[in-house]
Amino acid sequence: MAKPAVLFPDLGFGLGLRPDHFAQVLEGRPSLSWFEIVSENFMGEGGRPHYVLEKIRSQAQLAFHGVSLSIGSVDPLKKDYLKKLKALVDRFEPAIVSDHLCWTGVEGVNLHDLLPLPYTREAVDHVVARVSQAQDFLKRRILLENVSSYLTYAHSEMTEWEFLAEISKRADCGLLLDVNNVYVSAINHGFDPLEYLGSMPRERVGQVHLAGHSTRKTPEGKTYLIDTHDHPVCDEVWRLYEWVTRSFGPVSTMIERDADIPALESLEQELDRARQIHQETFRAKQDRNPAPTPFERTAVVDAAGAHPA
Amino acid sequence: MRRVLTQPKGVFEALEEDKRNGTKGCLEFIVDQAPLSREKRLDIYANGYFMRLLECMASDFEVVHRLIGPHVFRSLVAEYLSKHPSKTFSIDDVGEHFPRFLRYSETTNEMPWLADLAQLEWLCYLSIYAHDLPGFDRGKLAKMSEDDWAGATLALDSSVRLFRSSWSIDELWELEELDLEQAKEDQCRLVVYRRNFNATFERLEPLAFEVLAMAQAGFSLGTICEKLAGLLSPGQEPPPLMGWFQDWIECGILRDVRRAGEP
Repeated sequence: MAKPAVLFPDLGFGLGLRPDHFAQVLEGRPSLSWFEIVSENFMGEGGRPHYVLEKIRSQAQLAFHGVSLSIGSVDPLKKDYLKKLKALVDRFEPAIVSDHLCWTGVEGVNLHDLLPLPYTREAVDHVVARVSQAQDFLKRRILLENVSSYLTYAHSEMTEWEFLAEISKRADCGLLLDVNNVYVSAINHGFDPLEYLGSMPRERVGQVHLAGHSTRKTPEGKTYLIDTHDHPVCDEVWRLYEWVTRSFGPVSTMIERDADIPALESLEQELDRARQIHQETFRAKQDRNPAPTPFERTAVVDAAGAHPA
Repeated sequence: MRRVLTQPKGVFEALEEDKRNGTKGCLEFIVDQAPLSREKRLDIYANGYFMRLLECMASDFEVVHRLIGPHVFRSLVAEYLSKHPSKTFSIDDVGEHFPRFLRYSETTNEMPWLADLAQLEWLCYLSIYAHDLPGFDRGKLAKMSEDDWAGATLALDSSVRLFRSSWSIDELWELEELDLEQAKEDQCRLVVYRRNFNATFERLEPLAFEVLAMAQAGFSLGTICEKLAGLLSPGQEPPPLMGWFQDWIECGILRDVRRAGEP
């Protein structure tokens, strides 16, 4: 069977751009093919953010990553927000525009958090209609990221991965696959992350996020994870990324760090690890075609190391 | 669920309150599953909500935070958020009403200047992200005829904010820790503006402040001079208007001189 055509370009390896690194990045260090910015941080009228973006746009590709679209909320989509996003998109022409599959507020109040949705048919219909509305307004396909979550709803009718896949297909949007989020949620809810990843429609995955998290213990000594983006990517997530690389082929990949931000060199080292995984995978792939099928998944994972979840 | 997550007393208290009131809570919609209780699962979100906004406001109101200390600041933010939950899509805008909130807060009765300090910090924040304007075109000045001057108006940079306080706010800004005796009643007039992408402010003498205020209100140079003359005491030397203009062009406060009718 022919592989489905991918909908998004492979930008290679990038980093989430943070103010701590503005000066170094403007000096051309590191020389990366793309940077992701948090859209809301650049929606002001002017000042340093726009200056920085102009400069970086001239030397690298951009991806815009939003946190306030609130695609799952029952509030109407915010017109003023969409207008600002469109103005930014039209001006800087990013290669990718994304947000999260979640709700961030209701009744006009913004919780500034990425809250999970109930995985119901009604929610699918609701989100699909809103994604279409957003894509029509922005005149481009957007990507939705899977969020890490700490709760699920009793009235869900399907798994998170079925929900995500269904929405992306019906809304004709892309997916931003956050491998760390899959892992965090897998530990917090007790599912198999490979079942999740294996259910993603490959052709719709346009970007991969890699990040770190914090490990916490309940008073009973049980482990749960918080998606803090304040640690390096953990080994388990690297193993999942290896699986994604082998199964999905090249996808634009980046490291996301939002707290305890280290020197740029340290993030570059993490990115080097992603590059290395990519190179080794494709060297191995050239040696032994064809690409892994769903039936080979277990073997691939075993080769990469057993997963604790 | 929103109410439970944003309850200042915390998730556990909010759920207890639901029980006491016989209100149908959100707990029954949450899957009860190891390793966490449903209450704890909600609490992770509630804690994240408050800490995220607290951190953002501590950064936007860095001076207020430093002077009143983290404990008082935290309790003020909790009270503030219960009265002014965020309605903006940018988390950075969450402190928009904080200066006004402080003005009427009983907690800060002993610090009547605190609201002004917060207002100054907010003006600095607004100044940083004001829209960009082209630099001053000195060549344009040379092309203006003598007849143009009286009707001309001064265009200030979009980052310029004028601020008047009855306290020595600029001195309080510099304090490392709170010293109530340092707060002096004073007619403090400040201009906030953006320079090299950062917000800065300067104290102005009263007449210079009035000139900028009139320029911002769109008065012509002729009117500004007339009004300025009216503000002078008998025998007072005329103010160094040209010197001020020169300084304001240098530091980017003054962006353009427009002939009457020029957009």
